Order: sequence, then structure tokens, then C-alpha cells
Amino acid sequence: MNDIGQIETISFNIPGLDFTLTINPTTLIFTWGIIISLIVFSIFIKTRIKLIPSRIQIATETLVGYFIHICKEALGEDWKKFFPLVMTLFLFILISNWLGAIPNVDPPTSDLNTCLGFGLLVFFIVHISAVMHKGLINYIKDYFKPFFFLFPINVIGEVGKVVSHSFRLFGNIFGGGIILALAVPIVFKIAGILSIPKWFLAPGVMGLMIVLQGFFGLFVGLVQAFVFSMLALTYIAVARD
Amino acid sequence: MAAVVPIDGTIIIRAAALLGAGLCMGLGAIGPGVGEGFVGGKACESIARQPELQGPITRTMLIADAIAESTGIYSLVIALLLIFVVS
Repeated sequence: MNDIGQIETISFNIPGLDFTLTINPTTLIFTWGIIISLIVFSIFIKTRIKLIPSRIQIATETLVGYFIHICKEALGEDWKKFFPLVMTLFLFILISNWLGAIPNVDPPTSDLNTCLGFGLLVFFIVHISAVMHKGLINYIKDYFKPFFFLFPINVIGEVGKVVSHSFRLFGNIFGGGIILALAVPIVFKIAGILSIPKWFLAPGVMGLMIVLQGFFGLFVGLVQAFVFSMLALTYIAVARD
Repeated sequence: MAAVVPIDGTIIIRAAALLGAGLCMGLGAIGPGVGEGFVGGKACESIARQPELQGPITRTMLIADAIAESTGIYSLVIALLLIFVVS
């Protein structure tokens, strides 16, 4: 049980500099794999657009059209600026979460570095776009609303958004992974205490694992990817008001 | 006679951290559970009243669920810290 939550890392010294670089090879490989497969998929779709669509073209058009609709509702005329960001966040996190449905695979989003990176990315985009849209004076004035002395609470609220936004994704995916890793040992431990033979339990445990993988990998992954991109869109829309 | 385990400070700290992690997760799950149930129930009521608005209501419900879940996620992070870092 002690190996749950341990991540294999590789550390090496850069020659000439007093600096140690630590990387997580699983996260890096899967991240680049997802990026490359998304690019290849989009090029594949783009070169094959027809007037009479194929099935995969209909599915893609429905998804993209749904997100364009949501972005237009939230942002009005400026939707074209932020639609690519929201769509890319959704697709990347969705594919990454669905990798978690494969047994013994650690998805990149169960690594805090990925989630915190996305959270900080959204944070900087929200504040820079708010400054560019409203001007620096109006942007700073917003921190003193509704009363002058609420300034510290507003600042803490903005920093807390980053923490809750990234830890929500990380906690859901990582916690799901821990539950999946603990389910089978717990069932067999209880069976050992009650002295139930293991061959009797095996089909039930397999069914349980399929249901758990489906729930935590597919359903929670879809909901969390949607929630992450929608919250990013909402933060952007609120900060630009 | 039962085996006598020598008790020193580290064992007490480990036991307290594991106990605290369990309490933290259990107590921290009460609030999000109540909140998400409330959100889901209200969403059901509004869909029953206006079935044509099902899409926007479900979307808002998911986002509200995620925000209500924040405190539960905080307690999960604290519990993980207690289990993997302190003990």
C-alpha cells in the first residue's frame, strides 16, 4: 500500500550549472502523445470536410458547434478570441482523463504539475485580458468594490480561484485513481477475514472493477473536463464585465 | 503474554496523522454532500417546471456542483498530505 501516490521521477544535473532538473517521464510522454494525436486528428478532419458529412465529421461538428454556442452566450461578440482556448482545454483534459480508464495508466491530469499549470495559465489569461479590455485604472478599481476595506479579501479570493480551480481537477482524478487502487485489496482482505475462497469472488471483483473504471475514468473524466473549461470561460467573462 | 510494542514519538505522530486524515475526509464530505444534493434537487424541480430549459439548467447544475465540491477537495488534499507527507 505504500507505493500508492509515489511517482517515478528522473533527476539529472545540468553540467556547468548548479541546478538539478527533475522530470516525470510518464506525464511528459503522455502529454506529448495527446498533443500530437490531437493535431493529427484535427488535420485528418480538416482535409476531409465534405458537403455530405461522414459520421466522424458530424460528431466533431456537433461538439464544436455546442462550444461555440456556449462561448457566444457567455462572451457575446468577443467569443472568437477565447473559443480556441476553451475548446483546447476541454479536448486535452478529456482525452487525458479518459486515459485513466485504462488500467495501470497514470493520466497526466493526476499529476499536480499539469493541473497547476492549467490553473496558472487560466489565471494569467483572465487578468491580462481584463486589463486589456477595461484599462488598468478600472481593473484596479474593481478590487476596491463594494467597499474600500474589502481589498485584501478580494485579492485572497482571486488567488483562491487558482488553487480551487487546479486542485478540483487534480483531486478528482487522483482520488479516483486511489479508490481504484484500493478497491481490490480491500475486497480480498475482507474475504480473507471471512474465509471466503478467492475463486468464488473473482467474477464479482472483475465486474466491480469494470464499473469503477467506467465511473471514475469515463463519467468523472467527462464532467471534470467540462467543468474545468466552463469555469475558465466563466472567470474570463466575469473579469471582463 | 502479548508482545510489547515500544511506543515512541514517531508512532504517536503516525497514528494521529492517519486518524486525522480519516476524520478530515469524513467530516469534510458532509458539506459538499448536502450542497450537491440541494443543487440537484432544485435542478430537478426547475426541469419539472420548465422541461424546455433542460440543457442550460443541467450545465449550470454541473458548474454549481463543482463549486460546492471545492471544500471536499480541500479536505481530500489535506488528508493526502497527512497520509503521504506527515506519516
